[in-house]
Amino acid sequence: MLDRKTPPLFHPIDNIQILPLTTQMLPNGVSLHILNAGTQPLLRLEIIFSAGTSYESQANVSYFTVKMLGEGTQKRSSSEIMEYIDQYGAFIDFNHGVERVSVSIYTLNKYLANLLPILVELISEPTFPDKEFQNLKNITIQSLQVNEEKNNYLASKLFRELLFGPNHPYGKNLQATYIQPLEREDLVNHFQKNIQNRKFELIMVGSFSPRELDLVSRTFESLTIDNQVNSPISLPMQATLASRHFFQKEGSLQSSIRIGCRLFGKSHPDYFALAVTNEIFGGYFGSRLMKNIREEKGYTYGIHSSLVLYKEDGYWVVGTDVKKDFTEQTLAEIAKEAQKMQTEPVDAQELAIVKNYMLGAFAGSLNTPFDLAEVFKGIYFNQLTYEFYQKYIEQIQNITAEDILATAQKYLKIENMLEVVVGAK
Amino acid sequence: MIHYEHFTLANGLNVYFHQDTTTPIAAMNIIYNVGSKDEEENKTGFAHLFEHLMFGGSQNIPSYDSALQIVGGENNAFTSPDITNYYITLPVANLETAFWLESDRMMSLSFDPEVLEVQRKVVIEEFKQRYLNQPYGDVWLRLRPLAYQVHPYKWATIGKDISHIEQATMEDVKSFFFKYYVPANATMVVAGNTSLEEVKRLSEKWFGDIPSGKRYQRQLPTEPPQHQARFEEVTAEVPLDAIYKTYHMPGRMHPDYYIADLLSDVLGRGKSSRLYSRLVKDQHLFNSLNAYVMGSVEPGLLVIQGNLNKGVRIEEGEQAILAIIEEVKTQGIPEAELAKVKNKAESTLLFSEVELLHRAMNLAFFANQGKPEHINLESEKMQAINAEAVQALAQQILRPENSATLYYRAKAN
Repeated sequence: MLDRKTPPLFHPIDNIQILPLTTQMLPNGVSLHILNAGTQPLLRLEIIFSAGTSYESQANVSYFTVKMLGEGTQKRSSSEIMEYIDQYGAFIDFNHGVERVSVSIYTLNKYLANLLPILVELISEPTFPDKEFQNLKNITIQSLQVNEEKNNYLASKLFRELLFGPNHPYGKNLQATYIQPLEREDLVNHFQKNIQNRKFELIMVGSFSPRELDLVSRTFESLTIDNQVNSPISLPMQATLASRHFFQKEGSLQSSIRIGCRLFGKSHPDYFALAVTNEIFGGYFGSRLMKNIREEKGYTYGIHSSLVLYKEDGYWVVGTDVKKDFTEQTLAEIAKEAQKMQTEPVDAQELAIVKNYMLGAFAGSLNTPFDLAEVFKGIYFNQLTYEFYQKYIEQIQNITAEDILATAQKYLKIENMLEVVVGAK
Repeated sequence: MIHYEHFTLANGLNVYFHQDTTTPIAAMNIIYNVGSKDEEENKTGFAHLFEHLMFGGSQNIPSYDSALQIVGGENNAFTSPDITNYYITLPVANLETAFWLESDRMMSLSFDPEVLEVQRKVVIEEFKQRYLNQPYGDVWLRLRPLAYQVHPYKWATIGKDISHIEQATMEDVKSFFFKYYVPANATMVVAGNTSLEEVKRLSEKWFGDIPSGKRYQRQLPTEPPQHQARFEEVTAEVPLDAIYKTYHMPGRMHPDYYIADLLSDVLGRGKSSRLYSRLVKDQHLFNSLNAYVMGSVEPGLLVIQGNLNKGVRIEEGEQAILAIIEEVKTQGIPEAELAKVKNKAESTLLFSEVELLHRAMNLAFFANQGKPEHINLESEKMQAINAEAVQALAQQILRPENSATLYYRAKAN
């Protein structure tokens, strides 16, 4: 008779291999980071500039500059660009972030040679046609109106605004009042100052041959790059201290809650211990918050806490959408769980589960070449090395209940929290 | 090419193995051949509620999640109108834990009344979060019954009404389980760096003694051909007017499915598609606009949906969409445009195969349909389509009498 009560023997994860990207410097000073992995004959090539929100001299201009790169060049119109890329079945993305912006192309290897010239065009001779810009402004403003009907969108936006101040790059959002006055020339200025002839980073991952690598090197090494390096524009933070904010939204069935506090940048030594502490509290499906608020009380479909760390600063936040009648109860339960984290040591079984889960989840996040590129970016742009992940693994393996208690006492104090509720009570 | 091997246990459980020696993480995917289309009309939302109950403990294992987490595994599940799909990824060294967990809950659940009470509440909050407390969230709750009058696709997987979920009983739970959650009605895929022998050994060991049950024989009403255009209009607290149009089309396994898929790409996939380039980019009528197909197993829908720019009347937007449809029907599409959407479809397929779990899931889907070989034929079928076939299908399905249209008006206007 098969014993179904006793779990099969299992092996703790003690060895996680991370395939590293390697870096080569092109003669013009551009860094090309590559990883050849996977089995399908395809790749992603990313061109990354330091030209995000932190570098803009006018609110929202960096966002529109990068989104407009594909809307017209000296040789092609917006529709010709899209038609050209689509005919090779490729996908192009224009990404915008606090620190960096990027243009990424996803393509089958066989079409790379056709696509490289147009990528060069997009980053070197965009024309920012006014007709396309006005249309994009209009579309963006209207999409924002749709998003602003969503309690969870509003709650996240307001939380970040209050936490860092609405003008700080970490707190700034897209906003109609910022977008309206933007003009084509503002985009051109941002482009000339931060993208045109500026140094960029290339990340190429996938399963490709020396031919594709050679094509990429040859294409980008011929570009002229000046040596000027811009610094982020530093703005004072206008942070709101611990406080509670409620925004009534008529007709809400649920309230969206955000509660959290400012932390530190990614290289801070407390990161590892806090990562485990957060996981236990609200980071995974088996967390305290999920068990209490979803699995025992059924107030919500989901509740999560997370660490959001930028290079210089960061925050910790709990987020959930709950049945409106239980808004106050949920807030009280979050406070109760935070208190418990600070007073009662985690028991051995729970600690073992969370450690193994985190290691497994980390190993599972290294599956594809695209995953591995993200892992690389996580260190490279924060001036860290792969040792960071070795340390991550070791710290998870070695952390004790006492460490977690001390970390919770340092960071999970409910009296230090900023609370935002959008909805109804 | 996705390589796989297959065997069937004596109790009827179909098992597929896909080997991949390049990753230390293995995947297990199990489909139960039951979806929301198999529900009774007065007990909708049940297949999905049941999916939640599958995580509430089985006969010998009180906590599914923590038993998996402690071996470094992750899991999730989804319910569609056609299937209920459960999946696990975990270090391949701990693969046996997945067999232990999945076989125990296939054998028997704990049927804990408290689990039912809590998950009922969770699902009701999911209903609100996704469908009621979102702008345009209830669109499919309205569109499905407009497009389908007889076939059970007329209700959404979340259910027709919250009251159905409120009224579910433990008796319903038990009878559902013993009818559908049996080896003969399941398909399992194991993928990763292991061997067929090992998968056979573990399958026999853990699933071999589960009573077979019967393969469920589906007898669903057929949706009769639609002969008259359908129309509905709603006004709600949303910032922009929106339009949704559906056209009946062939199901996922029908030879013409891929033609409809390419047709929808020509119309409205991506920025160089006809609808987007003309009506969003050139004419500035729409804020967003796209076309896609529902990949449902039984006859499905080709959908066109868009949000209108402020100041543009829905009627005007609709006329512009219809003019583009008319053009495709009367003039057909150039070979170059067809080649473009085929190339896009080919890359989409290859990019979707990068992730092991995704390969396992696709294989399980086709295997559950009785056609696992289909997973390697998709690209070929797509490439074989010519422009005449696309035009002919456009003429056949993009007719007003075959359509349902929903005007979603913003209250403020």
